[in-house]
Amino acid sequence: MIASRRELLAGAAAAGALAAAPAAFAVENPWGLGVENAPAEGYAPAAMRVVHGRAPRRLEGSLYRNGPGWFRYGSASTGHWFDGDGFIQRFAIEDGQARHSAKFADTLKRRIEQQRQEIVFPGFGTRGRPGAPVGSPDDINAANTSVMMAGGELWALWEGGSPTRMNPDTLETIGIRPLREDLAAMPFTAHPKVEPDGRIWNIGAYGQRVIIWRLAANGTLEDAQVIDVGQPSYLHDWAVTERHLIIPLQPWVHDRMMAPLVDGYTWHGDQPFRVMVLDKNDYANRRMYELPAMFFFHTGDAWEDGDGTIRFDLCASPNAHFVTEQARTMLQQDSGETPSAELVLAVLHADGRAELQRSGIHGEFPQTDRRRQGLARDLVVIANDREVSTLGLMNWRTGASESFTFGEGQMVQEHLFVPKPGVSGERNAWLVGVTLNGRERATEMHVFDAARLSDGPVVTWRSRYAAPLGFHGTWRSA
Amino acid sequence: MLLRTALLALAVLGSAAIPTQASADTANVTIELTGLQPQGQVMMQVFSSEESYRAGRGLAARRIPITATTATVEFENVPTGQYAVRLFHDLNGNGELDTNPFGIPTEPYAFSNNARGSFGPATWQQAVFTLTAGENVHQISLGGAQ
Repeated sequence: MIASRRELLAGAAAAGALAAAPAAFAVENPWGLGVENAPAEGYAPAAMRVVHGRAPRRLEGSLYRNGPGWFRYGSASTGHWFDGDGFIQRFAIEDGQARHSAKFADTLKRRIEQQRQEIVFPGFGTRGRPGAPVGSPDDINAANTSVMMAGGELWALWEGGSPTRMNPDTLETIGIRPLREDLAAMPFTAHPKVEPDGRIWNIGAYGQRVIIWRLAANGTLEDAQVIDVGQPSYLHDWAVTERHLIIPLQPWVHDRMMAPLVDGYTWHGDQPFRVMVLDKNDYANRRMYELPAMFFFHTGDAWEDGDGTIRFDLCASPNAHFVTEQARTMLQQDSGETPSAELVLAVLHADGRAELQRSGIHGEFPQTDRRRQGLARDLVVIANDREVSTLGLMNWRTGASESFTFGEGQMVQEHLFVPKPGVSGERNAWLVGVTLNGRERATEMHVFDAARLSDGPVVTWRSRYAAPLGFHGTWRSA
Repeated sequence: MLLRTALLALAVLGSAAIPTQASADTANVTIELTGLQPQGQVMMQVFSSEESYRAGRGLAARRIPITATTATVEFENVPTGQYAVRLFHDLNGNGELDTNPFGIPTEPYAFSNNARGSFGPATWQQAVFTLTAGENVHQISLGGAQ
């Protein structure tokens, strides 16, 4: 049996490693390794070594990933995992070879903090220096949560402010340019939904007001409207079908203005998890559903049946413990395990009833076939980096799941569906993602055949770098 | 938003002048503005006490047409002492500090000492500067956060 991360941590704690310097901490604990500062200059492009298998012949392109990569100045650290500076990694696959490179998004926050070599700005869970100069959310924009391609640019996304535009070839930062001048510094979440024809939908929340963005495939703004959703829930992700926008309103509510932001949220476990469904063509035409209280970060995707039933998958937890506790303490020591979320399917019936279908498998970072965004599909893949180091694939139509378990000490991160050229079946795809191998102190990229996940990766490359844990990524075909 | 309210107050003011009293105890001050986009107008307000600053009751206000990336504003024969300046660059000339739908200013603004507030306007303590007898020069940049 492979030792779980909990067991590894217990061993590390017994050895006193957790009380030692961060570097020693990292040797024993992959999560510790995953929240070390990356090199300020990033990673120069370097070939990755094949550990296993061979690259599929037709797989050519780049996996871009974003996540917090800088947390500490001296002995001071950010107050929360979510507040590290955006570190954008590129894993380029060409002619069967893979290369790994990375750069920090050159944000105002990062420029000033690097210049002063101290944490200056407040964040989601960071107090910052008293009186820190903040005139706009984009002054504290960490550009650290996801990436998307738009109009030939790579956009580094954060949920509280504007996209940060980057060059996808060099990873140089172009900067922030508003989607429209009068909408400067409006929130744009890290979970845009890109329809099969390329149209981009996104939202951004401020209190109980939410902006709904609609962009053309080239990234130009088509429409933006602000609606009132009735409660200031934490809104990290959402879902879109062919006809509807789905805004989940969980009972973790921002009801106090205080610093840091995370402390202003309250968990109301006695209140329902509401789901607002809006007509894409008329936002005033809306319905509200209620599900039992639960916390979520991420949805998979949504679709609707001919009878109007809407389904969307999400990774659900019993409460907000991870975001309020563990995502803070993990920067110092991993002081407690939060069970991973369970993959569930929310079913919203046309008659107003709502129910949850459970999968029995646990993890985070759900991903689906983006060729089917908003459309009926069977599969969703999730990564489990807690109880076991597993990549799981759920089939909602059959109710069956399959998985692959990585070796000891592997921190499994998001894996994306990458379509195989010339074929359209949902399983005609590769699953491409990374792990942080704590034992080897190296980031690894894996490619699975979605038709045979449990066979294991068809190829695994190992980087010379141990990159910080990331959040989300996107694939750009060559 | 507090910042918006404070700066909007500028828009309704005319070009009131600081009371002057030429003597050995008076000062001349040149305020040099840099980092401007050559369009629109700058709306500037001058304060001589914390109380008036907090209340938004300026001692004087100026409307300065902007045609270059720099501009200067001069006040002559003003009493020596402590002052603070706040301004915004009305890029589209509509006389208001424009904001996004969530109340965040979308036009540049600044305070004396290049002070920056924290989720609001700079405080009097951050923005206050002293005019001494004779010639004074004070520089304010609108080139973004420093």
